[in-house]
Amino acid sequence: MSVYDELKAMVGEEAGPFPANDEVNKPMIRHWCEAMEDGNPLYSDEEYAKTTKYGGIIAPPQMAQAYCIPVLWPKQEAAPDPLAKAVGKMDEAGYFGVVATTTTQEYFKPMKLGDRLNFTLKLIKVSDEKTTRLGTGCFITAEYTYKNQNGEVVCKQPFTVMKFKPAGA
Amino acid sequence: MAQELYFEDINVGDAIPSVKKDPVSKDQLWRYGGASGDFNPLHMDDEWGTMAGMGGRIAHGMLLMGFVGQAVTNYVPKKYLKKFSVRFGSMTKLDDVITISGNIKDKRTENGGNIITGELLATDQNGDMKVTGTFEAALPSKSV
Repeated sequence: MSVYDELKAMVGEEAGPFPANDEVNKPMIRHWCEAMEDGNPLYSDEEYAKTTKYGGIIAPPQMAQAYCIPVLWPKQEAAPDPLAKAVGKMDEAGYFGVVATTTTQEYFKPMKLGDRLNFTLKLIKVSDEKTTRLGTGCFITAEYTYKNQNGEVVCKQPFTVMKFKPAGA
Repeated sequence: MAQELYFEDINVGDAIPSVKKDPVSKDQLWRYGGASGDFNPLHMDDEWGTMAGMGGRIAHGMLLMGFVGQAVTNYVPKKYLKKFSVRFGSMTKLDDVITISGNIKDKRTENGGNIITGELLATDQNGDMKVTGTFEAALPSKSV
């Protein structure tokens, strides 16, 4: 059984839900906007945000992932997830290279201050062997589904990486 | 921030106002590391980036997605945005000056919704493509 077949057999595996460490909050939104250099008042100006359909500040839609990143310290055992497992199997088979190729975010509910997110991660697709200018390997797609404390889907985000043996290696 | 937008006012081929970002700086990558929790040394450490064959540190792909997203939400009010995708092209390095431009590719009425789709392109100061993006938004109509 090739490593690609092993990965394909894992399609459909899902892990989670994993809870976010923090509720949606203004300091993290401010830090995000400072990094993006994004001055949209919907993310920072309470008076303005009150006049919008949201009735208050919301987080930039792309921030869902930022609320759900594992704590950086103290070090924790990584929770087993199918994407990490698939990437690990490719590493073991000698496909060390990794590059993010595409991602999509589909938005459903806004992230309001005080919301507490959680996410699941599902392996949804593994390609056949492909060769690109980077090398030979395959494309692995996992989908994050972010929900809020009411069980409403906030965002779905399929994320595709290529794991490869570098060309010429 | 985006102005109100109506389906009738949008035409295929319309330009999406371009956004030019300041040069990507170390400081910005540190800020993004803190904001996102992504401190991968590839984005923080030039030596590491050099060892990885990138010729120094590279910007986070998701930072670039954020730049492209700004061009989208400057144009389309956030409440109408349904879907946003990016394809990562080449690596973005320190001091790159990223400009995002785009246009409307399609408008259609589907299941009672007024859908527009747009395409975006982020390029550096040499005109090299860094990221391409697409978005889909459902706009209100003046007639309802």
